[in-house]
Amino acid sequence: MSALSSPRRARGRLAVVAAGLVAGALALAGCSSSDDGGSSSPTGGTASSAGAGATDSFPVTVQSALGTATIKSEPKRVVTWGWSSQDAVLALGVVPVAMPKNTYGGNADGVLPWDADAIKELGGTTPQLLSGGDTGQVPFEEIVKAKPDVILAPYSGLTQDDYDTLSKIAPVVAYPDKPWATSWQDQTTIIGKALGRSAQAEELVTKTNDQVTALGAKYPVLQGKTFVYAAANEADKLSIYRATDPRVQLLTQLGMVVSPSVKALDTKPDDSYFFQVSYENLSKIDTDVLVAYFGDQKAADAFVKDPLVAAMPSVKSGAFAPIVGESFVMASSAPTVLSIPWMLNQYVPKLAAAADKVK
Amino acid sequence: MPAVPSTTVPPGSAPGGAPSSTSAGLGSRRRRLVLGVVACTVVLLVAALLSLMVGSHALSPSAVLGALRHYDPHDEASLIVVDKRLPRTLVGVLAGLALGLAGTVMQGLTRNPLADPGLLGVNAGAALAVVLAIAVAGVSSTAGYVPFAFVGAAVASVVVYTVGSLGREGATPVKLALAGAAVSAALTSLVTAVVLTSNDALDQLRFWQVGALAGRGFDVVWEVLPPIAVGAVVALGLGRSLNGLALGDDVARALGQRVGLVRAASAVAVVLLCGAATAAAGPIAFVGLVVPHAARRLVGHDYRWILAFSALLAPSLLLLCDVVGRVVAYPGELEVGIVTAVVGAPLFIALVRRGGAAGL
Repeated sequence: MSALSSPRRARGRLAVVAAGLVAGALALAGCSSSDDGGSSSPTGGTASSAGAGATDSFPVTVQSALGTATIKSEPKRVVTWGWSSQDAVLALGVVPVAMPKNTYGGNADGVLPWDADAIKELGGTTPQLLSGGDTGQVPFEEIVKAKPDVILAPYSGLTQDDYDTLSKIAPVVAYPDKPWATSWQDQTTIIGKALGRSAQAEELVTKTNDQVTALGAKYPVLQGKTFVYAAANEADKLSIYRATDPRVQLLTQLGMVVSPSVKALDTKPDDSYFFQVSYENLSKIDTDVLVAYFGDQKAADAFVKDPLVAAMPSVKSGAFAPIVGESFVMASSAPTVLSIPWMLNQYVPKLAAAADKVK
Repeated sequence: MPAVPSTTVPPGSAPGGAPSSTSAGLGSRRRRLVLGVVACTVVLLVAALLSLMVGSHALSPSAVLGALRHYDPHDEASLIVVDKRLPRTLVGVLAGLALGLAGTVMQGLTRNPLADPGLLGVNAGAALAVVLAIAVAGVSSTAGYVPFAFVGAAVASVVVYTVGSLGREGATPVKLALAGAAVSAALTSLVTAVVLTSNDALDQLRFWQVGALAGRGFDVVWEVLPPIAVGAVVALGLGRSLNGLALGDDVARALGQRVGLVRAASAVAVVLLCGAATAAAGPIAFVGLVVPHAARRLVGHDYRWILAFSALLAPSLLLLCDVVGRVVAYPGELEVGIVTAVVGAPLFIALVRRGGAAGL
């Protein structure tokens, strides 16, 4: 009997250990912390208008691809969704009450550096930070908690369902045409209209445009050079951004030209803001300068080590302008009236150095 | 005086008169199976050849052969064929072989025609290990994930097997399946927890989870070759034992089989094979499920032959799916995990509807 019971006891001990492991796993899973939506106060932003307040008359209607928003009076509690909208709101002197948490490129709280600077300048407090920015899932309950007067999402990927649900909370301003394809100038103008500050918005756009053009003029080597703006997220594949993407538009504003070879590779030009090219087809890309972003230098180094990438003429000659570092990447990927001044002085010399190497 | 009745010719019938139970019939069956193995080997060779010749960038056969014969680092064809397609093909062969054998063993071990090798928690364990590697250890290369994924798969399988073995009867098929499902669910929620807190993990996991052969170099080949080789040897040796197990545990024991040992050996083989395949290429659906089914339809219920055919057909399927993925999405590529799902699902439904799932 004892010979039979000791394996059973051993199994019994194993049972406790294994059950503990599984229970621990299940408990850990059950204890996943709720999002940070509840931490900052819902009254995080005050509509302190540095400079002029709203100059337009209300009500204002703003059209978008998903519907029309009627804003009856000057919004005091502004919620933004998608990328970069908070930049234009802050630049117009309004601190949002809620905006997406930017873990990529943001500081420890999840606020982008130029946004944090602007909030400090306006004397406001950090807004409620919305979760779901990474996955695109709209956090409806958090937005309800923020009690918005208007929801601004002109540079986002809202679906019609999202739009309809959000419209029950507050008027929603979505993208004018296609998701993720709104230029920063259009974003600023649309947001300016929604906040009743159209004149201010126009001034901001002109000022920033002039900054960009001036910097482009300072580096004549950039004029007319062809470029390809790419990302290496997936193994052996290059994502190439189309001309509708704000990243690409910023470079064309500096005087560069999208490489025609890339247009030839593009089989569905009216599709979304990027398309993928297998590494096997890299030789079909004929460009002066290759621009790509990386989270850190390690990723950039690994990229150029690949034999097919290293064989690209732009990489061989050094006409390769990697954008490295999360905040920097975010600033150049989502250029706005705030992020452009923040990064342009670092960014353009790097581009010019790469353009110099073009044979 | 009548001839001494032989075991091969039914007594009373003239020698040469041949109902199908004669040795001539048995011999011809064996011959057919051997021919089948040869045919499957040819299919595999053709698939491997296609994997070298066909890709997103069209290369002429002479360019491919030239690149294989003489590697020129300045020639684009050499870079594509030798640096990309060749290791990709090798990983495809190894991963396919591993998935086919693991799927067969798994279905024999659990006596369940729906047993995917991932049932032992391999996929969830590998995913958790990969995500932790990214979030905690900062690993970012495909080859770097391999050891983590393998260890994760192994640990998860050990937990599942241990939990499934609790109780008097040991690791019965039902208990293994239940334990596997529960542990997979728990580990998957842990994966989500890590992914929600780490940008890098989310960013890289979403690509790894699709299952792809692209971007796997020779380093991955060397990393997964030892466990797959060992696992394959163990799996191929288990054919006879799995035949016994298929009769039911009691009958198998009565026939003198050591059921516990066979189960353990099968689990080890599945962990080595499926763990290595998932570590190399990410979780790939359907190959381990469909191929043993198809093999069973072709060769009957003898596990020795099912294992042999699965070992040859699975890599062929995987490589052919990979080739399809390379050409349908020009100038990009579709990951092989997507193609196997699209191809495998209707194939599986067709196989099951033709009544092939009955009887293990």
